[in-house]
Amino acid sequence: MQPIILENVKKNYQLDKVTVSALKGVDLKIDAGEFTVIAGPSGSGKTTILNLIGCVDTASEGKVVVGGQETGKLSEKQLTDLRLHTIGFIFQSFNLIPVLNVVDNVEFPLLLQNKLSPNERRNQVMRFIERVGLSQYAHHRPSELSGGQRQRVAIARALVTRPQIVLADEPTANLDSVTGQNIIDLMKEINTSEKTTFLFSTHDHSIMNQARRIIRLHDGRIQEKA
Amino acid sequence: MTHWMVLKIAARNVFLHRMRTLVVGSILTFGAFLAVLGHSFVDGISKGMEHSTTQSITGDLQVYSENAKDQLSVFGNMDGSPVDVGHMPSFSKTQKELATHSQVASVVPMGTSFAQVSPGNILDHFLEKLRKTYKDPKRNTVDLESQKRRVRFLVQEIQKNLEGKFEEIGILSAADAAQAKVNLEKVSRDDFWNDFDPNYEDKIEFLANKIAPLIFDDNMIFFSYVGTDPQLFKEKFPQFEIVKGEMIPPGTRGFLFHDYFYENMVKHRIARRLDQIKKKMKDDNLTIAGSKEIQDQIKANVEQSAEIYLQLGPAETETLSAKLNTLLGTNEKDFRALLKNYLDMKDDNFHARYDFFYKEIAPHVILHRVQIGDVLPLSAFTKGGSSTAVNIKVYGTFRFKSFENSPLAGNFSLMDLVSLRELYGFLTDERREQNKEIEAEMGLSDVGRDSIEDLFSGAATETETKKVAPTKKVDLSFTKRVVGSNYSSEELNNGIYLHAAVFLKDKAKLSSVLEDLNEMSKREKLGWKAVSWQDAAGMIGQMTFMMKAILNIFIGISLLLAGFMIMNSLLMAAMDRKQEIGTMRAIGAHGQFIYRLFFYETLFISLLFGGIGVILGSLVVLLIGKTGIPAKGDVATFFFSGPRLFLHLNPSLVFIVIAIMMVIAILATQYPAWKAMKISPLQAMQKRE
Repeated sequence: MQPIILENVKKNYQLDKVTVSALKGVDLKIDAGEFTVIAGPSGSGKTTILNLIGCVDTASEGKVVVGGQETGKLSEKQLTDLRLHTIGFIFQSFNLIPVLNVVDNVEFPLLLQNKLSPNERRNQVMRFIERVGLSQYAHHRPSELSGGQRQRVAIARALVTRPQIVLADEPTANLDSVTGQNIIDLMKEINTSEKTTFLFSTHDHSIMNQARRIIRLHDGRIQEKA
Repeated sequence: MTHWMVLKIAARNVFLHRMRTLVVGSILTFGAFLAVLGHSFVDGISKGMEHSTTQSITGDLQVYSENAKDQLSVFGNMDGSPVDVGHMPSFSKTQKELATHSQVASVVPMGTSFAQVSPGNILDHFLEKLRKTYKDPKRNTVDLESQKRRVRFLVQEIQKNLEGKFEEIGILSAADAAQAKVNLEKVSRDDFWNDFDPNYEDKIEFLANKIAPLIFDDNMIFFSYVGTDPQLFKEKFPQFEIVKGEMIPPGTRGFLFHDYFYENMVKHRIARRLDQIKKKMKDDNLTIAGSKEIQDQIKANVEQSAEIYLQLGPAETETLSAKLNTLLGTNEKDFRALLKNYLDMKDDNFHARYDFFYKEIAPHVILHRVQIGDVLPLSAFTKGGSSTAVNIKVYGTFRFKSFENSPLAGNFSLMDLVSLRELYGFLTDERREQNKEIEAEMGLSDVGRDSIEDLFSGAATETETKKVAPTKKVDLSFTKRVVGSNYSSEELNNGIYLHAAVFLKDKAKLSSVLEDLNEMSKREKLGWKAVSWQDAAGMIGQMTFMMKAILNIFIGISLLLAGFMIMNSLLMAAMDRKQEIGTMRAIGAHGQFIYRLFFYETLFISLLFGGIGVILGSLVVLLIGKTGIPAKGDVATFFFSGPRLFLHLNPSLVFIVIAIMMVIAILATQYPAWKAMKISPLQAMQKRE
């Protein structure tokens, strides 16, 4: 089963009195375990596609299927649950909860899921913190970490629920190239070991080239496929 | 499980935004502190007022006629006029009816009203004494002559007083002033005094009617009284005690002044002011130089120095003059000027002169306008509007232990119910029997007085006649009968009463007993209704309610302010944390989670700071509650109903305040939390550093 299917998806935004078409009919299927990049210049619709797949936005037309569920037919509550159980998010500006330390930040989605016992939860959290190499920073606050470290925490948080899909919107944009490369390496490694589907956007060519599949967007349409 | 995380985030937000937390927190702390302390304070006052009201007059509840025109208010209306509550025909009947309720412990019959008494001024006083001496068959001539000299000296003093001032005295018309001059001139001549003995009744009458009023002494005393069964009253109001004189003997008509009233309203005005000044200097640390109020009182004493010199005889004047000159270190020949100098006291000589007053002056003046043992000519207005008068013996003064200084408990003087009935215009058994006899005698004395007036003054004004008539009429007619006259307990109990105090076995059951009694009265058509002591106390009863209302408004405002500040800061927090909230939503937090986050944050602040306020307030209440707050000045004594206000911490108050804090948390959270819930997870995708 393909975790992500987009069929003739269109998205229009209302900006003042002008209607802007961000997506002008996109068809896309992503297989499980893929490591895919969405590339394209600013305003090409990269973020819009990620938002639609991330269930934080809905399409104006067409069909978006995530984890086997058609998002257009779900309620706000169901969408939230879908995000919680199926998708992991990595944000460009990390978006950690500033008042919580590393352990608490990573634990946060597990608490929301409320599926594991406290012990299992703690083990899972520590495993992923170790996986991203931050064991010795487990009790630090986000403000005490570097950008790269913060993004590692965000990756641990996105992966700790073992989601089918991990979405990352320009995860390296706020990092220097070396750190960015390390993050990509980490993501690739997890992709291989955990068989998680990765979909991320970037406009950095060196990173783009490391993807197994590149989807190029231009002016709201997919141009070519790798 | 998520609750713990929410709490953790909320708590950390609270600490992260220290400034905001402190501002909101201190308002909440203040509100809670004020709520606990203020309510304990008002509760203390309320208890004191309840105690001083229920234990001095109202009992736990009051019954009175259901057909009453006005609502019962034992302290009178706001304008000081008495209320018309009608009357109930038989006390013993009501008493039996009330006794059928198992909670009723005792019933005391009452009638409260206002009366006025004109005890007469100093000349009246000496004339009365002179009259008695003339009527005494065993009188000695030396004493009689000395009394006559005393009166003549006083008349001269009055003349001296008015010399050249007739025009200044506005109350006299030109014709009256001319007549007064003629009258004064007449009594200053020797021939008026030469034939005094054979014509003493006429002469005394002339002096009393024409000269005594020229002292212009506004001598009327107004007071509230309660007519009751004095023995029963004493038994059921256990804090009642006699201060001066003695208790009214059982079955005897009589009157007791409240000691507070006696010392404040009946006492010689100069002495009373000196007492008050001394008290103010001691209790309130005031000085004459620093207090306009005291300066005014000193000034009033100087202006009313006549109240001393008119009461002194020639020999006393001479002795006192020497002593005053020694005290002041002067050689002033004019006694009046000397006295004025003496009364013009300053901070450095006040205490010496105060002591001098009581040692040297007080023994020679009439310190109380009504003395224990005097017969009071009480007059009141009956329901029909006519004035009635009753002569009644003053047996002493009383007070209520532990609130002797409370003007509230000192509001009433006391007399027997039988005399009250008479004052109120109801015929008593005794009066009924005596009526004919008295009428005959009154007829005679009326003729006598008229003839005297005709003889001495052709120009007697109508007002003068009216003013003097009721008092004198009674004086001449009833004195010997009413003094020491008796009544039977049947007469007391079977007769009418206006209202009655009911004591319960268990005060806590007041409201249910009240309901039972009113139901019973309606069902069995008993004709009375029952009201709580608060209702019976009228304005005074509502006072604590009003104080509580004002206090609650203050607390309400500070909490409302805190609520709005919390709301505002939460709104700002929601807007500041859009990305954080969006992230949580994107990761999979439901709107409910965000709502809880905000709610817990407010709850945390409210309970923490509200709790601090409650603890602080409780501590203060416990600390000062034990020692009590001293009542400084009469206003505080009035509200505290005693010399000290003791505070008690009411545990339910603590819970109520905490509950209110939670309500504020809930209310203040609604709008910001709703706003925060609406933050889209898209906000998480905003790209910013």
